[in-house]
Amino acid sequence: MANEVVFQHESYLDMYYQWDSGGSNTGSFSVGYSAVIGSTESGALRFANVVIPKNYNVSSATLLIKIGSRRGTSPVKSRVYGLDEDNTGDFSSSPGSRDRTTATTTGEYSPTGTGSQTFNVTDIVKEIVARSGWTSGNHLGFWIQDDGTNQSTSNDIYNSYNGEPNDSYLAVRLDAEPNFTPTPVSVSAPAFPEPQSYGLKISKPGQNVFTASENDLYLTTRRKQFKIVSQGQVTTNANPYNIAHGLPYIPFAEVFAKDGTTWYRLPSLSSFDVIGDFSVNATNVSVNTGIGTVLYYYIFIDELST
Amino acid sequence: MPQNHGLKIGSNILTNTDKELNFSSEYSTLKFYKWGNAQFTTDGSGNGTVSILHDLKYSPIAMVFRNITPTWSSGGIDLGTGSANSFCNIASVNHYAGGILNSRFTAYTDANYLVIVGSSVTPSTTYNFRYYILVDQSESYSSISNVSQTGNFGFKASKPDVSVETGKEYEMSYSSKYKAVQYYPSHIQTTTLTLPAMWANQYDTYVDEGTYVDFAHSLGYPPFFLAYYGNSPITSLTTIPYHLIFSGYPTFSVNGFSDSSKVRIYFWRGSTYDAGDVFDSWPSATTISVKLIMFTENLLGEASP
Repeated sequence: MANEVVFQHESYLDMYYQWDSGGSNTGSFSVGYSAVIGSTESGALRFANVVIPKNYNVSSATLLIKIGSRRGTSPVKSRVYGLDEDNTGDFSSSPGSRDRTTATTTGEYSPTGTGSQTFNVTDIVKEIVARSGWTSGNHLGFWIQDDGTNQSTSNDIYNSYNGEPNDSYLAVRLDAEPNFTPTPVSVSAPAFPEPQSYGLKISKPGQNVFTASENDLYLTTRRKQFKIVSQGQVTTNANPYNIAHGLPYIPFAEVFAKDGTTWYRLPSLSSFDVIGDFSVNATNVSVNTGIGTVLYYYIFIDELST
Repeated sequence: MPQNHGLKIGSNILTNTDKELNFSSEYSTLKFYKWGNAQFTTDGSGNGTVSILHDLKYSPIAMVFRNITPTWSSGGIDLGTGSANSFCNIASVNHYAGGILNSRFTAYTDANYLVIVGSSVTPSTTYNFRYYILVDQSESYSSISNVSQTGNFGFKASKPDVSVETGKEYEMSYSSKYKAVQYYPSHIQTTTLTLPAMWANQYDTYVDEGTYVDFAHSLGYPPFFLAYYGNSPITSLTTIPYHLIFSGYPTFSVNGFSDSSKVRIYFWRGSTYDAGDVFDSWPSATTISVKLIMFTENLLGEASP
């Protein structure tokens, strides 16, 4: 039993590499040997908002390094350390001289093409989250350096910052926490459009259209409404049954299914009488009701995928 | 075909695409016909029903919300509670509304009624609902309806090839007799929710996990809402509420509720180990996109005149 949480980079400043003879870059990562520079390369990766309680029992932690380009054919042999800090800052300042964890791990990347390399960093992560100053949600980093072998020609791995999901990540499995509730998400209230002195307003019967509240308006063009672009009745001959909508995006849609002499709005997923549900993509409204069901549908020109 | 006649309203009607227009008489719109509150008290077997007469002579579109005080109910986790006078969808598992019990409420329309049904829910209990019946049909229909004509006042736009003077009410693309189903464009919101890998085993025979998003709305009342979930990045969206039940065990649910300050949408997964079988396992972390549209209709507002 385990729960896995994946942590990503926050920005391009979470990737770093340096030529150990001098010179560095942010926004990209490299480890190995550059014959052009005549230097080994060391890199650093930082992961943001690592939600692991202090001293928590980490079942396993895996560092996966994405490799976007590769030079050479010899194995790239490297050693991984943690950055031994309570809350690792980004790499706008060099991480090369920061303290490193006692725990380390080694690995080598033998393929001659692109791909990814994984390291078991469980002990490193445990050491960092056991720090007296560690707080869940802090940032955590790794230092990865070439082991100094294979220096006859350029032989390294490289990746640049692309943003999720194409970058390296840290996957942590938290033991003995079978019932898991990640931190909920909040979305702020959107701003209302400015009141308009143009357009059309219709108030409900008995209300002065000049003074009626927004709730007492039957229509105001300050707001929008769904505009029906097609509607009709069909009988399904497949499941799922696809209704092509002809729009170049995902539109809003409504679907109703006949059961005997009555009509149900979908989705209707009663545990004692499942009628069906539907989804919409950029080509079809796809309805799951079984074969032989009479449907009535509305497709709106208004875009759902905005 | 694009028209150079009719009525359009938008930020710039010369350049707005049709989907950007706030109003266009080229397209029909959905129209609230009758709305209000309904309730029933279940019998000793937990069964109850309430019928609302519409008398349209065809099956109209209808939407029903259940009035709840949200209290999280899945076995392993606790995602908290909500305030009284919150509203959720029916006919699907909702862990803020009794879990699988909420899936035992359904609603349907026929030529005369909207009917709300509760089957094998809690006995001798009163359940409250908010319903909306639209003048727009949910079936093909071309005969006479019982709705009286608006008359020669107000504002009407008829569908193509239908006389605005003699057309039936359901043939109007817009009529000021009815309340439009409206929203602020800013109140279409999107976010993502992620749950990690998880599965039950012989030692942890029931496990579950969940998280939620609160979409604040500043409307000051619980709004009518529609919600969808899909992959990330979005290529397909499925209507919410949605759930999966595996051999009688709820294993996946995306649902939520609306109250006076927010719409909360949760993402939940469960796993049960029973006699060597696991129902269901979630071997990888999953990120879903959640899309919400909050309408300006007040679920606690006055009933229709």
